[in-house]
Amino acid sequence: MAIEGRRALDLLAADPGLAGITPHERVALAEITGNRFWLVQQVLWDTPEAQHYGAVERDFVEDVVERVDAAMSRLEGPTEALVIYHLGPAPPETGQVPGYLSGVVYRDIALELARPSDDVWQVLVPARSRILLVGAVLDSALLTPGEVLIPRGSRFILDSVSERGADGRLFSVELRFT
Amino acid sequence: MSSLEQRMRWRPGEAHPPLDVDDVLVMLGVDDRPESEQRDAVDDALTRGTLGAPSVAALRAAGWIEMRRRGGVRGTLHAWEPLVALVLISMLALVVWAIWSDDASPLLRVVATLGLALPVIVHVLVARYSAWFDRDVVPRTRR
Repeated sequence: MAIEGRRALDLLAADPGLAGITPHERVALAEITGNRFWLVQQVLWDTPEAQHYGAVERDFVEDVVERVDAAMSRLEGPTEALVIYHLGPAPPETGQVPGYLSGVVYRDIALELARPSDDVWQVLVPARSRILLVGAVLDSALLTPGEVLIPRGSRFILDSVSERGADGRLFSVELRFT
Repeated sequence: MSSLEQRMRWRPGEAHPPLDVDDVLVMLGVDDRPESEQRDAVDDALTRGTLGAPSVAALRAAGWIEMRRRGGVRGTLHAWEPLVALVLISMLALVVWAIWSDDASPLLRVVATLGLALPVIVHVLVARYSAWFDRDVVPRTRR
């Protein structure tokens, strides 16, 4: 049985790899969870908007992505499987999400943020998956407790779909890394 | 600052705030520098043409830069606007005179009509190929 909530948070906070994250990498993590979140995601998803970016924007994103990837590569992952929650439509057919994915370990917070018509992902995260507890590396009052970041390019396998809210659905999804 | 909800909900096509000046300065690595250095960095990036359209739009919206037409047909027309207007009015007067006066020769009437039509043709060309004519529009830092 996968764990969630406070126990999941404690497991992620105990990741020995967190200690190796450098100040330079923390700055990049602050960008991806802050004002430049959209900029980075646009480039990673290769959106039409990103086609209008110049060398300055692309070099900046490349630098941020390099540092965030380096930070996440230091992680060892939780020692047990856990569950996190995310809002969004069903995973793409390929299962692969090109950008980083934000989630939260608390079901209550996810359901509070979700509108009745929203789809919610319940993601099973296998043990030793390198997901980052954002609050463990960034100290900001604006952060939601239990927020996690899933590496870019991760794959998600859809297991089952059930109804929730007015028109929303609950997707049971399993995280697979590429 | 984006919120967890915004981050979790975001997918391509989802609305999001446009870039602002702070974003541009951070990307240029001068957000913590004096303003003169920041403007130099913006100038340099504009000269090199390395800033994308969203960044240029952010700088323009904040009054950091202005767009100046330089060279090209549209830029030339823009710069010579009063003279173009004077020529147009003169041509119009000539056409009116050529139509109503018995002294005007047929050749003069043709020349006057073509003279009046020329700016109209140029205007249509500019409108049709505006992307080409606009390539000479250059942003410049407003100091």
